[in-house]
Amino acid sequence: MNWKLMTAALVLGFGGLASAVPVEVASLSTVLTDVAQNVGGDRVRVTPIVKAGIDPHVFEPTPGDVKKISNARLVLVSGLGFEGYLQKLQSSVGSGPRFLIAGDVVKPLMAEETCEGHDHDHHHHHAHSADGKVADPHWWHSVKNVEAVTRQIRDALIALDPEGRSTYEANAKAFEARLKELARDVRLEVARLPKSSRVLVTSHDALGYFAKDHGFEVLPVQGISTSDQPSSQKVRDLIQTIRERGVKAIFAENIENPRVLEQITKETGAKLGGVLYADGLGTGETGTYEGMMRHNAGTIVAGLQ
Amino acid sequence: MRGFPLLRFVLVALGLCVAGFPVWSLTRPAPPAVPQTPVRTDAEHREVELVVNTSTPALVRISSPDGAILETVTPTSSASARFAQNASAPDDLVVSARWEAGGEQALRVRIIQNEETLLDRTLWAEGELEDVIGFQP
Repeated sequence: MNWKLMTAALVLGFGGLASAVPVEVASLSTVLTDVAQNVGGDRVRVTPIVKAGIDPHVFEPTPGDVKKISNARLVLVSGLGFEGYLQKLQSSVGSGPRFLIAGDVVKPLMAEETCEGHDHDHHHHHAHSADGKVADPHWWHSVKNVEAVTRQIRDALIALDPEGRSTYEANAKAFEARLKELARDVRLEVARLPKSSRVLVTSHDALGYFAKDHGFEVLPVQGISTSDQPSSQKVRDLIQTIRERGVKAIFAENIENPRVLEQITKETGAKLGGVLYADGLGTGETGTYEGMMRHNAGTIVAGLQ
Repeated sequence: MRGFPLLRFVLVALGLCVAGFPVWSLTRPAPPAVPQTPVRTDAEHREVELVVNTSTPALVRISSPDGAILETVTPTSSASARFAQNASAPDDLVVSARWEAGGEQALRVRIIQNEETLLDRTLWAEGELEDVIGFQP
């Protein structure tokens, strides 16, 4: 091999190495971590800042987390007030990384806010409207919203890494096809329940988007944040409603203390229908978005049938 | 045979139709088997007609949480059934179909009450279809 060929091989080799450096992404949501990994594939390295099992309503980034976020080129944020620390975080990390706010591409549901017994030391930065309602930040419980966010992440990655366009487009298309299949499977699962049985009693008001898509009425113990504490009058009213409506099961959440729910089951005769993943992904079979949605739909239907 | 040629043709065609009728009636697809769902007519429920049409013959099953409303046993392009539906909160319908013909196929579902169409949806699929039709509250 002559020297020209060797030089060309070296240049190509370094070029290959340069393009093989993954795009650094930091994620403040377990759902967004999963979507970014599906869209980005080997071209991205996603660092999960909020991990499975952490309550994102009360999460605070540590100095170590801030450093990791500063080193990222893209930061994935749920938005709609879910990350109460976002403004502080953005000013800490400066203009380095680009922030992608997923809530910007979904149509928010407006929910009643229950501030009874609310701990104002906790984060509580939900966007209030004039009528006292707040945007429900749990948008991922509607598969359609996740489809929109998939396209948003695809476009953000293409902007940061134009050479990967064909990969990002192909990966996003494949993931969207799986999401459509997921949406159909969830519809088929829920169709086993008569409309009259579609009453969802949960720890906190996190399943509004799921309820809207599938015709459920949600009766939450807490408000849209896990730091909203219910008054004893609200719990008494809820017990009365559960009795009147003949609700068969109520549901706990993976990161909640189910003590209040246990008390309600004792007084109403409704059973604990199982654990739902409301604020993000779990581990094992619920460690992916698709697994989490299938688990939630299956648990709800099995509990209420 | 003597006579006017057009008259001869008409007579032969009539003869073929008369001879062919028993063969057609024996070999035509059986009408769809419709489960006999008891039709409740209390204040909460309304009696409606479910009408299904497909682009080419298909095996069709339509069910609600109470069970099957319509189920064909041979491929058909058209079937109907009557059932009782909750008027204030109609249940979802699970629609399944299987076509032998290839390519994209369509299935139209209509819910009719006293000549008023309450729902009219067309679903498309290739080979097999399984999906849900929901009523908006």
